[in-house]
Amino acid sequence: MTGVDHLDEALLTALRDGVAAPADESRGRAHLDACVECRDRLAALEQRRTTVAAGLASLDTSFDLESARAAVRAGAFPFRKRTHRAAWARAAGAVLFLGVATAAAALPRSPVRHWLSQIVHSRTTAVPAPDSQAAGPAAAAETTGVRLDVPSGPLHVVLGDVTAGTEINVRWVPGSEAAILAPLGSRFTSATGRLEARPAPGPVRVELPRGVVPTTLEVGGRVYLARTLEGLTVSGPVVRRDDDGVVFRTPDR
Amino acid sequence: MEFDATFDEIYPRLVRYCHRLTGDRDAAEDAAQEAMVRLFTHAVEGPVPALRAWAFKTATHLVRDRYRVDKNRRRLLQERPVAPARTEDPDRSLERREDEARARAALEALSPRDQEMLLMRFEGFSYKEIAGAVDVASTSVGTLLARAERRFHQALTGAEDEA
Repeated sequence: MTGVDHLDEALLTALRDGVAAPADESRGRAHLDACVECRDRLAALEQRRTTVAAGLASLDTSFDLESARAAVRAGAFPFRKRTHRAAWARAAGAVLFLGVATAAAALPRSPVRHWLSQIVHSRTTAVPAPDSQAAGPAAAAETTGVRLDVPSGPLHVVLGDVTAGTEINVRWVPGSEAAILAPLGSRFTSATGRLEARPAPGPVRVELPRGVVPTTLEVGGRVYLARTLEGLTVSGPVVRRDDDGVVFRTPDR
Repeated sequence: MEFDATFDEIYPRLVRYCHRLTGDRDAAEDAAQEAMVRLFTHAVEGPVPALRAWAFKTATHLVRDRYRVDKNRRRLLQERPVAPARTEDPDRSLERREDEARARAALEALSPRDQEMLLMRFEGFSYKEIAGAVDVASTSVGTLLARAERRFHQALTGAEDEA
């Protein structure tokens, strides 16, 4: 086809991919109807696309989408805001509870008085970390925490607003109970399969049940540790590691 | 914007794109997750294709700014992997690893912009979306893309394309 202006590579590629502008599409298709050479080049481009796609696919690997989902959710919505209505309802409930409790507890030798004493005691006593227990009652009182029974996975543990340089001691524990233990003043929330904390400055201990998978630990929106059936992936800033756990230290800003 | 549906629609392709771009699993997850967090915290509105384009553009800039500064990092990681300790897939054959290395070398033979354009095109983005993401004129995208694809193919196969 001497003397014919053949289609350029860009237009052929656009025709191949179905993204040519309407005018170019008409002109290109009309040319292809008459030009064997360009049809052959288009066929070669089809083959090239297949080869390129296969080459790019060879770079791919699998990702833990559930861990990523949890990390993104924690980063985007670290702590859900409570509505004013819910807050008023809780406040009203607390006032009612305290009123009834005061009246009941005022009765001498009331079993309610004894029961209330137990409740109040259990709610205000910090959950001591094993290390704190070893250090004595004073140290235990410095630590508080939250525990959650997780009979089966997944388990997501999320630490938000962590002070730079915080040491996070992650321990594998027997049983099915996960926990976050942190200095007094820390805030905690929990839901099914999920523990969250905004720890006050100071060391944090995270207890993860050894048998529960998948388990994910996220700190500041970043996955530090993920445990799946395929194994353990540690991607946070490790200070030391042993058979019973991993110790991280959040980066200094 | 419903979280799970939006996440499922965008993230898997985004992290794949970032991984192809960086060759670094951690960097890819960091960039993709941060782009997704920004998507939600900035409360970006629009149809899914627009959200996807926004997330890809954001991730592309994150990769440019953070993970291409030290080009040797990836090579060092490949040569001396330190952390995390991952379990190697036992079914991953030598041939597969050679294919991956060949494709990685072919991709790195392209300029960063050509890499981004090629990878976004193979994620199904339109020329207009690609132009917006990599800051080139939309009228130039076709020519640049065709050239990038040809160069990648040549580097991958050793063939001299005539198209």
